Amino acid sequence: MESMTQNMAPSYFPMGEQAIVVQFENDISIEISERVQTLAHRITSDAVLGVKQLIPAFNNLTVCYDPLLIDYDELLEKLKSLEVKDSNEVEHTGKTIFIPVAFGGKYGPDLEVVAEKANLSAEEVISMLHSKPYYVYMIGFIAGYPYCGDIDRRLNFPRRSSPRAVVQKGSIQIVNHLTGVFTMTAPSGWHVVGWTPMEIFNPHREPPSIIQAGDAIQYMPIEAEEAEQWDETKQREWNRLWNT
Amino acid sequence: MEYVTVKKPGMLTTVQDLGRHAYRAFGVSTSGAMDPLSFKMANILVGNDENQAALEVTLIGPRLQFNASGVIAITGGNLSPTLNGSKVSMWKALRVEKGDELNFGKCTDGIRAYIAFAGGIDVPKVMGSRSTYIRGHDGGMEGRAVAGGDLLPIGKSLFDFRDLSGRSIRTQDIPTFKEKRSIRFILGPHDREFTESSLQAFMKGPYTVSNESDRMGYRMQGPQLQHLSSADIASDFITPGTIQVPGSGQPIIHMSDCGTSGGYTKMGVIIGVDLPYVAQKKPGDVIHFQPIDVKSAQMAWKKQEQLIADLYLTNKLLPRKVI
Repeated sequence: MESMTQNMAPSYFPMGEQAIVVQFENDISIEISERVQTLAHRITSDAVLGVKQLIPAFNNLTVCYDPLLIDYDELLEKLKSLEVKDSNEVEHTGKTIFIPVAFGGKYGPDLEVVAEKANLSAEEVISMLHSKPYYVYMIGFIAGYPYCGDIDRRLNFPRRSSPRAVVQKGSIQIVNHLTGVFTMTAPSGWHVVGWTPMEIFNPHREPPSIIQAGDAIQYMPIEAEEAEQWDETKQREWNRLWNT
Repeated sequence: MEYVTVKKPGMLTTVQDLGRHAYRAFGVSTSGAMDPLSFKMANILVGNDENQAALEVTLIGPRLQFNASGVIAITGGNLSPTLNGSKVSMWKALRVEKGDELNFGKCTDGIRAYIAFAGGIDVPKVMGSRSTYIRGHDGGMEGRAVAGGDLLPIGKSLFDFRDLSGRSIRTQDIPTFKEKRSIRFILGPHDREFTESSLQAFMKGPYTVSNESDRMGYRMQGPQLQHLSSADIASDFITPGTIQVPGSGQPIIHMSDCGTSGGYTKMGVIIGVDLPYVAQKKPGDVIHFQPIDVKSAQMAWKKQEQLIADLYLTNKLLPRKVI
C-alpha cells in the first residue's frame, strides 16, 4: 500500500483561468499533507515566474498565478517537473506551537457530552487531548483557522446537530478526527472542549497567524483562573518557556 | 480635499480596494471590490493607482458632502447620482467644490456603484489592503460599513485637479449590466462528481439569484443538480467566482467576502472577465452559465487587462509634478 501511494502522481485541474489545483490521493493523512507541503516549498524555492500564491489544503495544493506572465500549459509543465517522486524527498519543516488550554467547565461546554458519548470520564478525555502534538493540515475557513489532527479515535464524533450561533474566539474545538482553535468569534457546529487565552491570529501582526500548515500544535492544560488572568507578560513568559 | 462627510450611509457602503489576496493561505478572505472592472475605471479617471481605496455603494446610495474642492468619478451600476440636486454623468471625472453634496436616486442598472476620489481614501492598511471585511472587522472604517457622521480621510493626489476633470471612458468601453449575456465559467475541479444529466441541466439553466445573496456569495435557484455519490469533499480552497454545489443541489456562487475553504464539490469557476457582471446582479436576476476553455478565458483576461493599460495611457495620466 505504502509503495503504491508514494509513486502515485498527482492530477492537475484548472480552477478558473488563474489557478491550478494539484490534487493528491483523495484521502486525509499526514503523509499526503507533507507531500502537499513539500511541493509548496519546491515551487517557492524555484521562484516560478507568475506564481502569486500557494494555498495548501488536506490533499491538494492550489497554485494561483498571473496569466499575463505564464499560461496554463507552461505552468502545468513546470509543476510536473517539480513533482515529489519519492517519499525520501518529503520534507518535514514544521515547528511545534504549545498552546495553554483551560479544559471543560464554562470554557468547554461540550466536554462532558463528548465524555459521555465516548464512555469515558472528563479527565480521561482531557488527558487524551493534551497527550500528543497535532499536525496542522491546513489553515482556512475564516481568519486563520487551523485544521489539526488526528485526535484519539474514541473522541471522533460528527458535528453537533444544531450549530452554536456564537462560539468565542480562543475556543478549542473537536469534530471527527480534527481539532482546532477558533480564531474569531463566529457560529460553529464543532464540539467546544476548552479555551485558550493565547492569541493565535492577529490581523495587525506580520504574519497574522502564528500557525502555518505543516506545523504542529500541542495543548497544555492550565487552570481556568490562570487563563482568566492571562496577559501580555504571561504570554511572553509562556513563549520563552515553550515557543522559542 | 482632506475629507468627505457622510451625511447618510446608504444601504451598504464600504471602503474597498482590490483585496488582500496575499493572505489567503492564512485563511483570510480576499474581500475587495465586487466589480473590479468598474472599480479600476473609477480610479483611473481620477488619476489614482488602480488599487487605491474607493467607496462601494450598494443599491441605495449614500449622501456625501465634500470639505474642499476635488475630483471624483462614479462608475459601476447606475444609481442615478446627483450633485447638489442635478443629475451628473457617470464614467467621467467630475470637479466638486467645497460644500457640494453628492446624492443617489433610483437604481436603474446593476446594483453596485463605485465612487473614487482623487488621492484615494486614506484609511490604514490591514494585511496589505484597505478593503472592509465586515465579518472579520478588518480594514475600511474600523472594520465596518461607512456610517452617518463618518469623515472619510482623502489622500493627496499627484495631479492638478484642472488636468483631471472632464476625463471620461469611451462609450464602447463602458460595461452595461442590463444586456442579456451568458456568464462564462471553466468546468471543474469536481465536474466529474455530477451526473451527466445534471451537467446538462446546469448549462441549460437558467438560475435565479435568490434573496440570500450578499458580498459573501449568491445562493442560486434553478434546476436541481445531482451528485454521483456525495456532495462532500475534504475542505479545500475557494476563490471568488467558485460555483459550489452542496447536498441541496442548488449552486452557490462565492463572491469577494467568501471564506478561503469549503467542503462541497465545485462545479466550476466563473472567469475573471465575467465576474463583474455577476457582482452587478441582484436578487431576482437570471444567470445562464456557459462553459469556456482555459485558453479562451486567459485571452479574454489579457484583452481586459490591455484595455485597463490603454485607459491609463489614453488618459495621459502622467502627473504634472513628474513632468
